[in-house]
Amino acid sequence: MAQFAFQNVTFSYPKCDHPALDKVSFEIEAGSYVMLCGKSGCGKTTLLRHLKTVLTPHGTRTGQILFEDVPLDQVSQREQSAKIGYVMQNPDAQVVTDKVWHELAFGLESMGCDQRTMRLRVAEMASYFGIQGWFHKDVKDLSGGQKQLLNLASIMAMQPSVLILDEPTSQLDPIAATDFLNTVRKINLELGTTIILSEHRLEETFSAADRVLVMKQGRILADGEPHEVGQKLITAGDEMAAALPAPMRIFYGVNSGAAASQVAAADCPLTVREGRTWLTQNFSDIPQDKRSLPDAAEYEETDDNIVLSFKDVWFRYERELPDILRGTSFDVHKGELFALVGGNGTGKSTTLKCACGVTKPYRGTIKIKGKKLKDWKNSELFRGCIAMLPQDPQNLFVKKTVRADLEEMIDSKGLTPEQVQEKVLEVARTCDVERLLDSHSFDLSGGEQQRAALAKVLLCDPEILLLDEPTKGIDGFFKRELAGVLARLREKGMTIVMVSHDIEFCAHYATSVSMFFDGGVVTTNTPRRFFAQNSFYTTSANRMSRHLFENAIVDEDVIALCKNA
Amino acid sequence: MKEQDAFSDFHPAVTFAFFALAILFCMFFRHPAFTAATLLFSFLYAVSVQGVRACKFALAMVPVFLLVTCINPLFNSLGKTVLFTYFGGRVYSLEALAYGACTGCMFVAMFIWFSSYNRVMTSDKFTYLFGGLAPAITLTLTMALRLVPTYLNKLSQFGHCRASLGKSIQVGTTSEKAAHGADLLSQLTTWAFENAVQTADSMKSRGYGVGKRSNFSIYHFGNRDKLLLAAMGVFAALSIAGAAMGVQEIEFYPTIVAAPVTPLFTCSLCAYCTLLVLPTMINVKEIVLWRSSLSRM
Repeated sequence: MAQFAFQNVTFSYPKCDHPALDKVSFEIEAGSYVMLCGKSGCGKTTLLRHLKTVLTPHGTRTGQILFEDVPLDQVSQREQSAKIGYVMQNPDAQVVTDKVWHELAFGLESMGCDQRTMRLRVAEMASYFGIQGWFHKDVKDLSGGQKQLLNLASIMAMQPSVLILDEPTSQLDPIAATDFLNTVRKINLELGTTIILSEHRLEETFSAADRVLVMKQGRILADGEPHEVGQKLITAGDEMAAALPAPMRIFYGVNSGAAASQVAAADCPLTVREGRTWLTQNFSDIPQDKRSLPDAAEYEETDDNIVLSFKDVWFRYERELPDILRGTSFDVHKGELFALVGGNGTGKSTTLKCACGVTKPYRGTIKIKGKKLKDWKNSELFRGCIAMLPQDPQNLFVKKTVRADLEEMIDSKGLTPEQVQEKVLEVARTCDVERLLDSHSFDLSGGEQQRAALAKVLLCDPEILLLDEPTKGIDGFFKRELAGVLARLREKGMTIVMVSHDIEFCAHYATSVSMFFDGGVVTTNTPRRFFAQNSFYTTSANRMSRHLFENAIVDEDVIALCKNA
Repeated sequence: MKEQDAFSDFHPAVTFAFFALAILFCMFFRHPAFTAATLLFSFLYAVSVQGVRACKFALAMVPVFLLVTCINPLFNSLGKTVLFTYFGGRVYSLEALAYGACTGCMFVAMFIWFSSYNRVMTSDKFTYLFGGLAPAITLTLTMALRLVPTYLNKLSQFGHCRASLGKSIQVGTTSEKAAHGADLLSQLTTWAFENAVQTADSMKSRGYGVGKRSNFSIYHFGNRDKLLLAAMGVFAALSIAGAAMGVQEIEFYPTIVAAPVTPLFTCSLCAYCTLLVLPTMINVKEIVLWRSSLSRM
């Protein structure tokens, strides 16, 4: 008996000509781990929301959805609430009450459970999820990762048989995200709860899934076991192929073209471990001289063309709190894409805030274009000199449409309305948001928001652009687009300083990478040198190939070395 | 932050009953001896809960006390013992000053009791106690308690983002500042609505509204709660009995005349003091217990 069955479901939002779901049919077996992926805006959320009546969006629908062989709309709300758990994207908005212990019991209270049952269930959940340590805390004092774990636990307290998760890690940092996904995996393995998960972080979830569904424009593009789906995406040349895990991309990069459809899909490695084995089996006989890419030049620390410099900067938020920045010093040269990487809470984002004067250090000097930050006038600094794209791009939008938001940034003195529109269009073209100009910012997907926010920031016409986690919550496809935009900006002479957790992105596109730890920059180097020297904090491609190859840090490097053999 | 406060580990009903009694008695028992007692014990308890911060708080209360004390004679010129006259003959009397001092003490004691109350009776305890009366209101209250810090946090994030675009509400002309402030507010409103929709989805998804809600709590009414509540009842009754029999009668005007000190007065005052010292005693006992058990380890 299938737990869920979609029978030819088509759904359109009101006032929308093309359907959001187009003749979708599939069945999900109880106990399976199903992963749903696809470009943002392809209908993943719409599909998932159809799995629970109270969340189903308004619109016209044909076809049928069965839950345990009963049409879903005939299953009572009470039964649906208990049996179908749903975790959403935003960790904050899902929490209802102010205390952790109360939140855990929220669903049980709704069901009218008695005190004894609730006590037991809550105790069970707190123990299973490791919540004991913060059981009595206020929700406001939790980290994003803890909040999302709490959301999961409070749903699991109702003992659902299916757990639906809609991009649950898109707003978490990588460590919290991995933790969360491991917990989901554990639930699936230990409790047999069916998991239906939509994710853009394929790197970690792809290998865990029993089955992958790929969506494109409201249709199911591929459906099957991960190896098969990977092969299908590659041979179809689909955009989603860029988002596949690195070992898979390398495998099909080596077996490219016609070979891709001939190799056995099951041979393809999904994880770094499998990738290493595969490399060892096939390429360990490569002669020593062909195992290394030319060593990149050492990072040069010159004093020329420094546009942003930090010298011994100390900062803390309040007098009683510990220092966040502890003598941070670094220089950024003109035209660089300077990436700051490092763990959570080490002070990376604070560095950016200090660089644009939003927060003020209590010791040390920050110079922008050779002039001390405090000597800059606000009007000069943010007109043509520096601008920052915050971590949550949504925070930048204040108006009703993207267009109005962009117009807000233009100093319209001495410009005709046509000239203003022209400027808006120009920047919209650069960031590829022309067709989104008349949408409300809340209606955009994560990747679209990111680009619209970038457009807004660019209207400050900055020479130095600060980006705080620009790839957070966006999928592999949009990352490439973003990289394209950044490259175009650098050609125009812009300097970009980026804080990121996304090692792969930094390895591909940065010109220099700095490791940030304990409130300061530990080391700065070119990406190749930087990642080739690290053994934990490095790209999947490097971790997969470091036992055979030297200096190979991105997929293309490994592929080139393999093909060379 | 976890206070080292053993008293707050008692059942919320006990905690609430204590503060209700302490604050009510503080208002109605106006005999100087009783007021002095409540001031002393409110301070001792505050110290046992908050440590040095309680002393700082008490210091900050000194001006309040002085203000109330000195102002009373300006409004009340009934006293017989004239200290000085002003405005061509208005009397500033010792009795009025004394009455002012009593009132000042009462105010300060109330403030200190309330500061401890805020520390000990957290919102969840309050909603737990009164939740049974109106579950819907309780839930609303709980949600509101969560929203305020969330909104403030978001507002500061928005503010930082605006500042990083050079549109801080702290710079520019007054009209620019106003415009930036308005933008910030409209941004927060939009975000709040969007957020509320998601919260509503999360509530519905967890079965909100499918039936009668029950109310979960982590509190347990144990034997020691019963014991403490009973003790509090006895001491409170003795205090009230004394007051009802007039031991606290005192006239300030024209001269200060108090009822004679009878055994009943002493008894009532002792009961009152014991009632007020209970939580402090519990805290001190806890500390001593830990110290001694540590020394045995």
